[in-house]
Amino acid sequence: MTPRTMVVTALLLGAFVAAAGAYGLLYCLSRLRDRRGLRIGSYLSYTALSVIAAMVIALTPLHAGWKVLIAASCIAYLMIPPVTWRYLTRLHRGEKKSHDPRFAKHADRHFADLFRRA
Amino acid sequence: MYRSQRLGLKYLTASTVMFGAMIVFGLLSSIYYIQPGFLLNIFNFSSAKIIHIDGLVIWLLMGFIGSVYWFVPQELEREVDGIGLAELLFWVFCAAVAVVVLVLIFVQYGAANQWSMWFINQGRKYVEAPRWAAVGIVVVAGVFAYNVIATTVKAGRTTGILTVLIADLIPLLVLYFDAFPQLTSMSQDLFWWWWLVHLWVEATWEVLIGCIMAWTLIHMVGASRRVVESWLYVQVALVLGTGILGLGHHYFWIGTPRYWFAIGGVFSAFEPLPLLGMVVHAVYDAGSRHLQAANRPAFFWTLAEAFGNFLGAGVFGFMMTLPQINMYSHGTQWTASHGHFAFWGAYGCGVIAVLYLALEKSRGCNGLDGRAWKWSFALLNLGILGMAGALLVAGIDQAFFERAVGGSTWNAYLAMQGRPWFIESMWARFVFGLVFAAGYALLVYDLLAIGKSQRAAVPQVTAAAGS
Repeated sequence: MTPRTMVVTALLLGAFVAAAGAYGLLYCLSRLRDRRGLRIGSYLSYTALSVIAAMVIALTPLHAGWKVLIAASCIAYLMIPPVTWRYLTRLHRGEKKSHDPRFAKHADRHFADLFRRA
Repeated sequence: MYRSQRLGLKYLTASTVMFGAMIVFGLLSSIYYIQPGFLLNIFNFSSAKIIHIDGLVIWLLMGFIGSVYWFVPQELEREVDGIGLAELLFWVFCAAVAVVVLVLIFVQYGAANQWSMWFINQGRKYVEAPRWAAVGIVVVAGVFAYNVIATTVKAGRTTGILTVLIADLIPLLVLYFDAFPQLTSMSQDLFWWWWLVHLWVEATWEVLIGCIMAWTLIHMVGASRRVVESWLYVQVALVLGTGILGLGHHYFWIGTPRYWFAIGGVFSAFEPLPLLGMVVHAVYDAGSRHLQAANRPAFFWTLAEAFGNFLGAGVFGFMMTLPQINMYSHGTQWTASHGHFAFWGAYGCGVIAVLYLALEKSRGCNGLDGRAWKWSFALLNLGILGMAGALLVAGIDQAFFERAVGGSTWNAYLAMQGRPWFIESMWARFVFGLVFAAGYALLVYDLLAIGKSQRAAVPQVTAAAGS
């Protein structure tokens, strides 16, 4: 590994996780707000994540095992936001009224909308 | 208010003071990089750095202990068992910390003998406090664990959060015994020392802050206990599943067998996965409440905790964790960049959230808001982002020129100190350190003032209504 490829590889790995965060954030916001722009943003973030993963695999001198790990992580990152979201939605479905009636009202209405859309 | 909650407030206050001490000595440490002769032979860099990093451990530990003493009586609706002893030990703990800081400032170091180890400095990073103080920490942690466990036993009931907390307190205490061995082999010493440092920070502390944030969500926004506890179990399983063997990424260059490369790298790569789940949860909760909460500072600091944890531990950590990168980045300012951001995101923000929550209740307010907290929130987060960014640039420069090009020689190290990018990054770190310190000053001002006018307004309104 040359000094230059070391820095490039490290930056790509950081960008890989940052893109996963952007995808997760935009995915959640698109579910909350139901806006097309946010949904497209989440797709673009995941595309960026995949491109970075492909660059790590194709361009960096990491050992093959780490490249397999990056590819597997890329798939795992795709799953985490929707799976977590579905899990949280299912958990909140049985949620009893919260202690503060103001927030409970908001939350109930919001989640009812989400379920209706689903 | 329970006596335990008053004790919790004292711990949180002491934690805030230690937070300030950590910042002062952090700023001092940063000056040596831009003025290498600063306080030479009077108060050397090593002493300032020791108080900075040990101050970090102590302010967070005090914050955690204070948070638990605050929440446990509410959880079990009874006073904490052995509260008198806990109150006594709080003062002993504070006095011990003060004595240790004074010794580290005025005595600093001693000969390589048992006396120095017992009364000046143990000489092991993060646990430099002399041995008598280390014994004291075991006593405080033991009484703290007893308080929680005995209260639960006497209450005759438990909750999911409390059960997880009790299960966590035992390894938290046991792992601290790793601060005591005196091994002559550096490899063996580091092997066990990481059990303390890594397994505290990336396992037991993660679970502890998970429990504290679970209680925070219940009391701050009235989140359903069933939801919070279910999520806590999932998070604890994921964090422990990835975090325990993530220990391996500290075993890369200390003389351990080669298989630690694979174990450390693989589990470190898994570590950002649960952090992304936490971000999803934070956005879900924040969005479902339309970013509204009665206690706005606590709410926003809770959100900052999820995002800071992901960025600091996840993004900054993964950048340098695979062995082929870590060979060059290990022990450079790159590590310091990750350390600053991750500690702040994972723990600092959480402790500040609890501070605001406890203040709201203790001052009898129904919600907290204002302008000062927003400024302190912005300055503290801008400061840490700037420091982490500056250290990242310096670290990359160091890994590139000193390690990869220069071959990690003494000459390369010295040449590195004069490189423009390194020097400019050190200046940037100092400036952003000042921004962070300004944020802290505003935080203290806000903690002293917030809610007091609201509380004062209540009797006036009542009196007006009565007349």
